[in-house]
Amino acid sequence: MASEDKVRVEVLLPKELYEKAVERGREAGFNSFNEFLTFLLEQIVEEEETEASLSPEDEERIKERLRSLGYID
Amino acid sequence: MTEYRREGRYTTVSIPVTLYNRIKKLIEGTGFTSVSQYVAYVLREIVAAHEERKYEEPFTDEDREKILEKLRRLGYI
Amino acid sequence: MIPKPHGGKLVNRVVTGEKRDRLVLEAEELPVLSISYERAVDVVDIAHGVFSPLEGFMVQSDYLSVLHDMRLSNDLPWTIPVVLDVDPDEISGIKEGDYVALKHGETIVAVVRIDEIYGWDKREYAEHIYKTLDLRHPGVAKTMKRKELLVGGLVDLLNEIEYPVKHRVLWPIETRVLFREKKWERIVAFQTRNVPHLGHEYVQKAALTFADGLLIHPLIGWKKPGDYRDEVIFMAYEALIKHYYPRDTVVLAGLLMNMHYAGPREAVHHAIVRKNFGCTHIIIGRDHAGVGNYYAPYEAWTIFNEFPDLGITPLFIREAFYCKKCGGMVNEKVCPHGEEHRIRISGTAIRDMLRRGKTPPEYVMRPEVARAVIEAGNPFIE
Ligand SMILES: [Zn+2]
Repeated sequence: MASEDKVRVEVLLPKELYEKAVERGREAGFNSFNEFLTFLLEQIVEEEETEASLSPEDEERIKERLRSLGYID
Repeated sequence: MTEYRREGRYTTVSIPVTLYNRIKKLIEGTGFTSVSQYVAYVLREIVAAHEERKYEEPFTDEDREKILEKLRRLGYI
Repeated sequence: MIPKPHGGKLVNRVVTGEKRDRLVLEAEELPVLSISYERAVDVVDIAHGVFSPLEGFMVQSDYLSVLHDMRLSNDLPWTIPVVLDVDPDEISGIKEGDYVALKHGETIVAVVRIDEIYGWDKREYAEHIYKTLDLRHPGVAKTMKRKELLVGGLVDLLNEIEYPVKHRVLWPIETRVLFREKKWERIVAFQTRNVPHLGHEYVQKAALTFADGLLIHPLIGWKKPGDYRDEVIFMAYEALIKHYYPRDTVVLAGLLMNMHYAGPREAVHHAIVRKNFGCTHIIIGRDHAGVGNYYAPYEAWTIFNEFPDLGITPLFIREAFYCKKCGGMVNEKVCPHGEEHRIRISGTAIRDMLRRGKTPPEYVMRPEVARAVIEAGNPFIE
């Protein structure tokens, strides 16, 4: 994992947005923007993933129950 | 459109490939068509929320009195 | 909490006092550009901060950015270009950095500093803004008739223009003072060009149940035959407010602003403008600012997904109708009954009745409102 993380991918950002975000990162005490961006995205992705963390099998099982109880068609 | 984009209005930043792939998976089937678009969305939200800090209205007490006078005359207050 | 103006600063380009006296004299010596009523309306809106943070007509970088990305070049959301079109002949000899006077009729409305002169592709404009090149679209037809060049630059307003119901127009700084005075914190804007029927009242009251106040904000100042006269819209709303709204929940004020029929893009534009007036929310209809079938259903709602940084919250309230089974005004979301029980309110049918001096049924329009409209004499623009 750690070695993989050294591989980086580029994303495109509007310049003005980038500059505002850099400012925001600096205010938040980050030394580099990439560090700030990675921190921010990891937090958000983490949250989103937990929300969607059901395995397909679990999801199917729950749907089956909801179906049998008449909540969904 | 591509020509327009090339006018140097965009800048590149980089994120770890693992994170990139996680985002890519996350936005599957949503309205987002690229990781860049998602990252811009997140940053805009953050920047805007931050800028919504305390804001002072640009009028002096004198301006305000004048405006209140007009509003009173027109029956708004 | 009353939101900050868009971009953080309420623009004021209205020149007063000695500076105005000086500029009025200077303007007499300047080259003159004649502008249409619509461009004069843009000037007035810029000057009074309706279009904050714009301080003038857009330069090319902002124009292109708005066209392609729905944002100003500083990344702020903005969906409708505010541009001044000129004939090459009119500005021959004028160069960037020069000042010109903008004249409407016999009045020098403003002085503009020419920051940039540039060309534009009107077809590209129409495709992006109106999503069609069809000349039957009123916005497209107007765009194609505009002049060949654009000029961007800072505006200084010297003289106000004439427009109807002037005493009913409030500017952003005035509504901001008013909302503070009323101690309102959640303020919902309602955009309209109509006299109110029960559907409008239902939608407004649905929003009012969780807000402190409602800004009923009719667009005024243009003259499309068959539309309600501005005065009539005010008389109708005054009757409605007097008889059917609690005291101190509504502000009725006119907004002098052009209409584009740009559907979804214009919905966002309307939201940004109302944020400048100090509103926290705006009611957006399913086919907001639409015309014909140029925009997909709900497109005026989904477009808001692209703006996490708008600073005003759109309220997507479904159109209301009368249901005989429910026994009142309802919408798709709250009424389970079939079409046979529903009476849809048709704006066209209401117009026809009012034109003939007939009062629409009570489940369509409040009798006090109908009376106000009928007593106004001819309620429509000829
Ligand atoms: Zn019903």
